[in-house]
Amino acid sequence: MNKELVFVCSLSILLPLIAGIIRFKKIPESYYPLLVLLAIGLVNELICYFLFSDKSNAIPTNIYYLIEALMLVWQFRNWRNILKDKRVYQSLQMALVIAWVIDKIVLKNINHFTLYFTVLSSLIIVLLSVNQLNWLITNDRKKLIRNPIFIICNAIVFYFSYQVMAEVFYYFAPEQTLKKDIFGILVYVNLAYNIFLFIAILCIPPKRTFLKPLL
Amino acid sequence: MHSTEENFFKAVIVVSVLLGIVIFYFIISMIKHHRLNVLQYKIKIKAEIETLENERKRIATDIHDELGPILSAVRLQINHLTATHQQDIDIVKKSNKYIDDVLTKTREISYNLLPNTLVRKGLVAAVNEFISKTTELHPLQCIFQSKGTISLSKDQEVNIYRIIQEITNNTIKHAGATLLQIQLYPEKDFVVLTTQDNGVGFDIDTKMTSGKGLGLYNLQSRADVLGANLTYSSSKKIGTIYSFEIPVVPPIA
Repeated sequence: MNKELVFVCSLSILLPLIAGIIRFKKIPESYYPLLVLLAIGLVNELICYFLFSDKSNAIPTNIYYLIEALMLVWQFRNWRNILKDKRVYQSLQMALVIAWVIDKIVLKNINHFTLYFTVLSSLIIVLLSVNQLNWLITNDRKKLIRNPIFIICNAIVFYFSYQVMAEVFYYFAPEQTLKKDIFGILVYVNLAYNIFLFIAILCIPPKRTFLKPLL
Repeated sequence: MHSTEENFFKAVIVVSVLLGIVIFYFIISMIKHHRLNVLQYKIKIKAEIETLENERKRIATDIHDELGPILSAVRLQINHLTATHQQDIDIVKKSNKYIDDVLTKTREISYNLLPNTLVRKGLVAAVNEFISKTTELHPLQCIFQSKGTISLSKDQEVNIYRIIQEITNNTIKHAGATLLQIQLYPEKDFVVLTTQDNGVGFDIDTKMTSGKGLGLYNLQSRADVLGANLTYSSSKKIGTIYSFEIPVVPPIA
């Protein structure tokens, strides 16, 4: 898979981002972490393609992994479920930062791709999504298929499960060509993830404007 | 690629496909179970509310049609007594007053159980009447505004009326508010009901987890029966806001 095709596929992040920008005024504040994450994701893709095209993009990618995990945890916090307790939320954020520092700086160099933080953060995010999905099943009384949180959580489960799998296989793959082929799967998974996010952003109900001047 | 690597890649593909199937099945089964769960919940809650409303209607009718006439007949009989002593005249007067009080109280109870205005003149008239009665009794300024033609079934009207009653009562009891604004208006395929008070607000999470949010659960149950989308927010700055988007065609007929 050549670099241009990978870049074009990664630009699918523009779909949910543009939808988010167009609907920005209508989208409730609770979804802002996701929109910020999409914007940072686009910046990361551009940096990786234009500034790190001929060398390893480990530095921006490693930093992006941390931001992505923190933003998604913030997003889960805004959905007022398992992370509604401020101390639990702050502890989790702190634990992620510590894990990142240990994995990317203490144990290895930030210039290298490492396995542990990516797997740990993906696993935490998948577990948070599963918990949110379980909450929705028991508490939500509307059509799940149009529920943006349901779509986002499923997209997260889908994408991050594949990311864990791909990272593990990538890490243990014996040869460079094989690593690239494994990475190729993640490119298509990422494309599907962005499409799911795009649909979810379109499904976000508009902010309720309360009392209107009547009569 | 060597054969070992080819096999490794095939293993990756197989695991990917299997993972995809598991996730797909996970999502489909979730949606299926959720649909069934929601349907059962709505049928259950609808039956409970219908039973409650029917029982209220029966009690209101019994009080209004049976107890009222009997009390009126008792008063008539007492008034036919020819009392000569001042003491007897006083007793008749007192009895008349007591019977009047009981009659007023039975009318009030009957009205609270099911207002006649709601049955005869519809939702807007009933809410106006309820608001004027409430402001007479409590130091709360209530502003009710409605616009457009609101065409709803009797069941929907009763549920919306109960929602307004519940919110008003909660505002009086807990909010410490001086102003409650209520709006009701049609919007596309919905009827929107919004209320806002200027009270102290409450912490939604604490209320829901402490088991004290019975009023909120009642509102949610009524909203579920109506198939309405309920959103609310509460804080010291803005007071408490409720908004219901009620579909004109109810989900469970």
